[in-house]
Amino acid sequence: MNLRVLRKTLLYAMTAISFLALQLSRELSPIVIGLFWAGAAVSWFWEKPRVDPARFLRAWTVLTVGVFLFSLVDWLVLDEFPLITIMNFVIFLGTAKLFQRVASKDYTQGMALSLLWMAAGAVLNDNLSYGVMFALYVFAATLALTIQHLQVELDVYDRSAANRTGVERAVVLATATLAAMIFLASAVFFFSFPRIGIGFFVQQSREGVTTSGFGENVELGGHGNIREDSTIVLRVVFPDGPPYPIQEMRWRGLSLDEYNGRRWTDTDNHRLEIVRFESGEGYMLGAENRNLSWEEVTRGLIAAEINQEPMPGTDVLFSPGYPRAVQLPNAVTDMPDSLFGRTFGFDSTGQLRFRTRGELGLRYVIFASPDAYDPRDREPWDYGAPDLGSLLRWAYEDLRASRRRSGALNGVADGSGEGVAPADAGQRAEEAGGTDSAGSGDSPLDRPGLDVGAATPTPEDFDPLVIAPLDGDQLQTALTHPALLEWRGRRRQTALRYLQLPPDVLTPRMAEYVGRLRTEYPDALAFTQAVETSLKRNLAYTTDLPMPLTDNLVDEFLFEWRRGHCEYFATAMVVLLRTSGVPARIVNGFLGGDYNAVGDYYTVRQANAHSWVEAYFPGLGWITFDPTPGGAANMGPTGWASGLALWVDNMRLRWFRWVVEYNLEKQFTLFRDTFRALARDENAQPSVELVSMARRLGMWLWRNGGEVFVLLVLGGGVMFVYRRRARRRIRWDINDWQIAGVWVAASTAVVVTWWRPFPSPDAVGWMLVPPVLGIGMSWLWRRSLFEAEGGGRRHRAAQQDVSRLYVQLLMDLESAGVPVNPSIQATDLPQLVGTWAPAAQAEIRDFVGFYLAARFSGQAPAVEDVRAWGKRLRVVRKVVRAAIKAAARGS
Amino acid sequence: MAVSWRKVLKAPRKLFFTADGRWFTAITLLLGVGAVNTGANLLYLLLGMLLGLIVASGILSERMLREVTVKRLPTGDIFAGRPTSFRWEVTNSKRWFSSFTLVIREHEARATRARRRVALGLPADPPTRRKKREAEADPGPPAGLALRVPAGRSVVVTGTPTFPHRGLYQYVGIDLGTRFPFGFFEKSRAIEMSSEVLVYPALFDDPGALTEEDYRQGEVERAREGQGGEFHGLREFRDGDDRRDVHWKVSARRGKLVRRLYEREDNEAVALHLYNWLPPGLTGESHRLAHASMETTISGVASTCARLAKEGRRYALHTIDARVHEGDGAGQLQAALRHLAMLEIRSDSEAPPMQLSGQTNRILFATRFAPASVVKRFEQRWRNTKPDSTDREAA
Repeated sequence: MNLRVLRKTLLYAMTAISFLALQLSRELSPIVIGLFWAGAAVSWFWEKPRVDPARFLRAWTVLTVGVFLFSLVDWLVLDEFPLITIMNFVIFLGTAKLFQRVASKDYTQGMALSLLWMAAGAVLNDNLSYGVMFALYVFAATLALTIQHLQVELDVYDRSAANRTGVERAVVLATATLAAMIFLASAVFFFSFPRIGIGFFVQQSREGVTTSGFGENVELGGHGNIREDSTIVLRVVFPDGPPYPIQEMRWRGLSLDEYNGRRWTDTDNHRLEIVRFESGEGYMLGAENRNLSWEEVTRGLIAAEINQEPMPGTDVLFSPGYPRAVQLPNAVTDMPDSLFGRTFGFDSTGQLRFRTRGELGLRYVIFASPDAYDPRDREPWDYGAPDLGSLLRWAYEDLRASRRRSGALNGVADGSGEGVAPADAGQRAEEAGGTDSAGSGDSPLDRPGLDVGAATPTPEDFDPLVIAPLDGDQLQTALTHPALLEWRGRRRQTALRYLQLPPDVLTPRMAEYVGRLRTEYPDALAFTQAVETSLKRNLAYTTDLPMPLTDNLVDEFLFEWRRGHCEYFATAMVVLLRTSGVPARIVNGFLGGDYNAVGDYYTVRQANAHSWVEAYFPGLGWITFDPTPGGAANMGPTGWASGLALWVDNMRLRWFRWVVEYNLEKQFTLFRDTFRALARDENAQPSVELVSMARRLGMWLWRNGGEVFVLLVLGGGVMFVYRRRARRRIRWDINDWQIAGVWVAASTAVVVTWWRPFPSPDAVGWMLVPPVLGIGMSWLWRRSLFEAEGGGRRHRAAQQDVSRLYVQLLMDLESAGVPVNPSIQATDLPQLVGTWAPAAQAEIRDFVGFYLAARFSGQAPAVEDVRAWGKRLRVVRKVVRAAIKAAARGS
Repeated sequence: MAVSWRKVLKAPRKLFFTADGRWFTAITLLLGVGAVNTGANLLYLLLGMLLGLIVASGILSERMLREVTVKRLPTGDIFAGRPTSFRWEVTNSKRWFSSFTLVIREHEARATRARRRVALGLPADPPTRRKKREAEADPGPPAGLALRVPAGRSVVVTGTPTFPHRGLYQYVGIDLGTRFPFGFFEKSRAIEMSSEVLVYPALFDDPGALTEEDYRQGEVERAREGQGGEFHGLREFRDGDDRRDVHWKVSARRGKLVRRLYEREDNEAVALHLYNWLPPGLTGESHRLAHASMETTISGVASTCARLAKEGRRYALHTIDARVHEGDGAGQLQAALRHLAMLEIRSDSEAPPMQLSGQTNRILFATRFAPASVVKRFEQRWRNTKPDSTDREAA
C-alpha cells in the first residue's frame, strides 16, 4: 500500500470513527446517518480516473451554500435544537470534503472536520462508546496525520526525496508506538489539567436505557420484559463493605400509597427540609437537629457510593434502606437551580429525588439506615409538626397506653400488654432527646414487648384530638393554633392514605381469607407475617400472566391465576393488610445485585427491579415484608458471556467514574495519593510538603548564612580559576554563565537573609528554588544536546579543547611578543614562530598538524593526546618567552 | 573577558509554526477554552489528545534531529538558470531510531540571499509579514528531503536547486529541520559549516545564434577570416599580411595587391572581448533591463567559451580591467567561466576604454550602452577585414 492509498484509508477511518462517536449518541436522525454512510461509500470511488473531482468543485460550493441556508431555516424557522443543526451542517461539510479530495490540503481539512465531529461527539455522547471511539481515533489520527505529513513533504520535495523505499512500513510501525504514547499523554493531560471550569454542562445527558423494570408507578396488567433486561442501572461501592449479602439488599426507590384497582401512585409528597453542611460534606435529609456534626449524622449508617445510570421517567435516587444523608458532586449541587431546572427533594416517605435538565446519570454517596426501622424515624404523619406537636404526641401515647391497659383502645380486647409501657417510654425518651443510640442495629421483630392488639390502629387513633383535653394553658393555646390545625388535617389525611382502598376491592373470598388469617393471628404483626408467608408459599412467581378477565386483579391473582410477579404479590399483600386495618404501602426499587469481581463493586440491573411491602406498626415504624417467592430477580448474563460482561461493565463504570465524572475533588485526591505513594508516607500533604521544603531551605540559609556565603565565595572563586586557567577557557560559555547564575542567586539569597526586616524563610527559599531549577534544567537540556550533536560529548569536547589550545597558543604567543595576526593561517604559524623562536618551530609544526587533523579530519582526537598537548604547549610557551627575552637582551 | 552574547543567548533550536500548525494550535486553544468553560470532561479528553500531539511533535522532532550529521558532497559545475544537483550525506548515528523527513537546507549569507532574490525580481530582503513571504513563492536556498534515514546508516540527499544568477553564493551553514511527525511545527538545528558555491553564467543552448543581427543585444562582431582552409574572399593586401596569400591573378587584374581570405580554422585563437560597463544613473525599469541585457551578454560570452572549448579552439577572454590568457581545454573554460561568474559590471562615470587584444580574431560582446568609440574600433577593424561581396563574387 503506497502512501496515497494509506492516507485515503486513514482519512476514511478518522471520518468513520468520529461519525460513529456521533451516531452512538443517538442524537442524529436516521436520514443523516443514512446519507453519511451512503455518501462516504460513494465518495471512496469518487476520484480520478473515474471522476475528476476538480470539475465539481463549483457545484459543491453551491450545494454547501444551499445546505447552509437550509440549516438556518431549520434553526430559526423550524426551531431545531441549534447544536443538532450545526452538527448536521458540519457533517455535511465533512461528507462533502470526501468528494473533494483534490489536493493535500483537502485531506488536512477532512481530518480537521473529523476532529470537529469528535468534539461534537464529546458533547452529545458521553457513554463508554465514546471512549472506545476516542481510543480508535487517537490511533487513526496519529497515523493519518503522520502519513499526511509525509505525503505533503513528498509533494514539495518530490524529486529530491531520498530513501523512500519501505518508508510506509517503517512509519506505520513507528506510529503504532507513537499512538500509544499520545494516548498516554492524553491521559496524563486529562488527569492533570486543572479542573477549574464552572461546570455548566458537567453532567451531560447520557444515553438512557430502557427502564421497563423500574417506574414511578406500578400498573398491573402488563409486566414487560424485566427478566430479559440485564441493563445495569446502579453500580455500587461500599466503602466499609456491604452490611449484609448483596442478594438480600433492597435498593429503596419510592413508595406508593394510592391504589385505584389497577395502578399505584404516590400521593404522599410532603417535603422535608434538607440541610447542607457548610463544610460541604453533604446533605442531611429530613433534618431535625441542626447541631449534629456530619460524623454524628452518618455514624452507624450504611454508606454506599452509587453510580446511577440515567433512568428516563424518574429522578429517584436509590438507597440501601432509609436515606438519612447524601453527598452529591459539588459541580452538580453548585449549579443554580433556576438555570438548570434542578429539583432536589426529600419527602416524608423516604423518597430522595434529584433532577437536572435532561435525563442525567449521577454519582452520589448515600447514607442509609441499616434496615427499615430507625428509632429516629418519626411516624409519617408527624413530619413537619410544630414543636407543640411533640407534647401532644407524648400525651397521646400516654393516653393510648392507658387505654390499652384498660382494653378500651380500638375495641380490641385484651392485648397481651406485657412490658409495653416501659419500652415505649424508653423509646420516647430517646426520641425526645433527638438522638439515636438504642436499638438502631437490632431487628424490630426481636424487640420485646410487642403489643399486637394495641398496634392495630384506626384512623381515629392518629388524631390527637381524640384524646381528652390535657391540663395546662399551653395545651389549650396549642389546640387552637393554626399550625396545629393544619397539621391535624394533614395528619388525618396521611393516616387515611395508608389505609386507602378502592371500592369493591374486597371480594367475599378475600374477606373470608383475611378473616381466617386474622382469627388465627390476632396480633397485627403476626397477622402481617402470616399474610406474607401465605402468599409466598401458596402462590407462584411468573411473568407469564394470563389476560385478566375481571377488574379486580388482586382477587383474580389470589384465587384464579395463583401466580404473578412481584407487583401482584405486593399489591395483594397491601390490600389484605389494609382491609385488616394495618397501614401499608408498596415500595418500588431493586432487590439484590451482582458482585463484579473485576472492578470490586456491585451492579444492580433492571432485571433486579422489585416491589415489596412496608407496613406500619406503632412504636416500631415501617417494617419491610416481601411476599414474592424466590427467583424473582434475574442476575444478568451467565456462562461464557458473563466474564466479558463483567469486564465491559467494569470498563463502563471506570469510564464514568474516572472520565465523565472526573472533577477537581478527584483530581486533588489523585495527586495527593500519587504524592503519598511517591513519598511513601500515607499522611503526607503535597502542598504542605512543598511549602515546608522551601521554608526548611530558607531557615537553613538563615541559620547558616555566614558559612554558606563564605563557601559560595570560595567555591565560586575556585570554579572561576579552574575554568579560566586549568581548563583554559578562552571565553565564557553557557556553562560559565550557568554557574555564575547559581552563584549570584545563592549569594543574593544569603544576603537577603541578613537584610532586615527579614522577609521570611519561605521567601528566601522560593527565591532560590526557581533559578536553581531553571538553570539546572537548562544545563541538562544543553548537555543532552551537546552529547547528541557531533557524535558524542567526548568527541566534541576533545575537539573543542584542541581549538581552545590553539587559540590559547595564539594568545600566549602574542603576549610573549610574537606579532600574531589574528587572521593568520594555522599553516603559517610554524614559520612565524620559527623566525622568533627557532627551537619551538618543530613543536609548533607538530601541534598545528594535530590541530588541523582534529578540526577537519572528522576523527575524534584522543582525550589523552589533548591533555598531553596542553602540557607540551606550556613548555613551548616558556621556550618562546625565553627566546624572545634572549633576543631582546641580545639586541 | 570577551563575551559572545549572541552565542550565549542563541537558542539551540528554532521552532516555527506551519500553516497547519497555526490552525491546529488555534483549534487546541478553542477546545481548551471550551473545556474549561463547560467543564465537560470529554472535551478535556480531546484536549488531552491535542496537547499530546503537540508534545509528541516536540519530542519526536527533537529525536529526529539528534545524532544526525550532515556532510556536503561535491557538486559539478553550476550554471545559472539550470537545475543543479546539490548533494548532502546525512548520517543517523542513533542506535535504534530512524529519522524521518529531515529537510536539509543551506543557510544563506545575507548577501547571497539578496543576490538570489534580486535575480528573481524580488526585494533584496524578504518581507517580514508571513503572508507576503509566502506569496512570493521564493524557492529559497538549496534544500533536499531525506524521507527516512535508518538508524546507524547514511543516505545521500539530493536537492535540485536552480540558481537564478551567476556569482559566488556563500552559505554559513546548514539548517537541519524536520516537521515530523505531523507537520504542525518545524524544528530546525543550525549546523555551522560554511561553504561557497560559484555559479557560472547561464549558457545558451545555441551560442551560434548570436550573430551580427544581435548587435543590440550584445554581440558586435564576429571574426570570420582565418589562416587557411576554405577560400573565404578577397581584400587589399596590407602590411603584415603574408605574401603567400596574395592572389596574383586578381592583383594583376586590379592593379594592386589583393590577398586571399580563408575560412577560419578551428585551431585559430579567438579573443573574446566583453565590455562590462553600464552607464551610471540608470534607475527603475531601465536599470533592470540594462542589467538583464548585460547578463545576457555575459551569458553569450560564456556560451561562446563553452562552444569554443567544445571545438577545441584556443581563446582568450578580455574584459575592461582583466583578462584570461589564451588557452584551451577544460582548464581554460573553467578559468573563463570563473572569471565571468565573478565579473563585476562597472559603472564608471566615463565609459572606460577597452584594450584590444593582439589576436587576429576578435569578438566584442557589449550591450547597446557600449560607447560608439569602442564599438567603432571593432566595427572599423571588422569592416577592414570583412570580405567584400564583389571580391567574393569575383573570386
